[in-house]
Amino acid sequence: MYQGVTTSVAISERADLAYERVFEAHWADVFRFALAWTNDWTAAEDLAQDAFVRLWNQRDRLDWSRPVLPWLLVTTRRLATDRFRTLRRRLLAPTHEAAIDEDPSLRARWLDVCAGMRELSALERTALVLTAVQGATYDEAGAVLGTTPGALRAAVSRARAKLENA
Amino acid sequence: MPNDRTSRLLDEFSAVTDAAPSPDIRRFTMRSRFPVATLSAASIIVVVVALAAIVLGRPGPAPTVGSSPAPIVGSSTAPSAPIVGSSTAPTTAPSTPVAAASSRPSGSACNLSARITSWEGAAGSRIATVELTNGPSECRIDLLPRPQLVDGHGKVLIDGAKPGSSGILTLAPGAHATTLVAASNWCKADPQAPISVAFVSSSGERLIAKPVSPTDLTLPPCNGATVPASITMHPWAA
Repeated sequence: MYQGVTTSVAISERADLAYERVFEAHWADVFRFALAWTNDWTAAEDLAQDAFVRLWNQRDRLDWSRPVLPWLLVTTRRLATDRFRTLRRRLLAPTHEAAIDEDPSLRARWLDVCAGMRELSALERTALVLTAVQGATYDEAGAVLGTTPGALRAAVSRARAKLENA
Repeated sequence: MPNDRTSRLLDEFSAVTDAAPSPDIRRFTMRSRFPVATLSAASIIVVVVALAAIVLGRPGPAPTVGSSPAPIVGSSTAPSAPIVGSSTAPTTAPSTPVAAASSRPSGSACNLSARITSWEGAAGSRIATVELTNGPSECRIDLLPRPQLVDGHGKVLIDGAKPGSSGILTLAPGAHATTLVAASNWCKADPQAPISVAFVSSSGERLIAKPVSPTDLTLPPCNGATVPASITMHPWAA
């Protein structure tokens, strides 16, 4: 009995530490992915936060020896495409003020990037950011986005063509 | 890396997201059930308010979270109603009547509030989404008032053109309306924060929207000092 409790506490502590390490290592990756998908700073913060909340809730059941980032990105994509979540976002005001609102110059730069990226679909933006900014292979990006490497390659090509011809 | 548009945009995307502050990790470890709780609470409020409305038999605005009753767009020969509460009857007729005279000016004071919900970037411009909320009384407003970009002291930075005659929008109690305001070409020094937009009605009443944040300094980029700055808006819409 005591043995079991001790083991449980030890696993929980290890999971907490692993969670902290993953948060520090991958918050920016998850946020960037969410931002590419939504092109909306506040929505991206919400999505990334909810993905990490789910990771926290799953921390005792996860195999921390395996890479967690793919799990986080797939979770973020599923959250982003969740129809119920989309409906909630339309009905309710944002749950927080975006951190970028506190930095006017950063905000101005983001507005220009956002305007440029608006020409692309969510898949095109995310495919481009995953491969060109995050350094993912087409196989890795395809797995995260639930599509084939060929479709990913086509999306990246379309995205580049749209941006260059805009 | 080639200096093409895609590369520049991705470089800037990367730089902006790198510069963004990370949130406190405790937000995730302590609010793990927040979305569900928020949704549950909102659902309960919606159900309770809807039941109350049914029981009381009120045909008024639907009391759902985030929704707004449909304002009535009225065509009228009466001059535009003031944006901010005014109970005085208008004294001048519009130059171009919109329709037969049938409606009357609002007899009760309006209690309107406006807020900027977001700023977006566009080529050479900044576009504010503004939400208008009516108070407890029915209110009639100009569909198309004169927009202004204002600083934190209410000083006008960019003044919009005075519109010709415009229709009237009748807002039910508690109703919302939204509009987009586009400003372009600010080439002067940064003004006092926060930046906001104001709306001047045909009767001269002025309503300043609540800015996005107390420190917001969103300004349109300078496209050339020889080109005048401009600000335009869409008509208010339900």
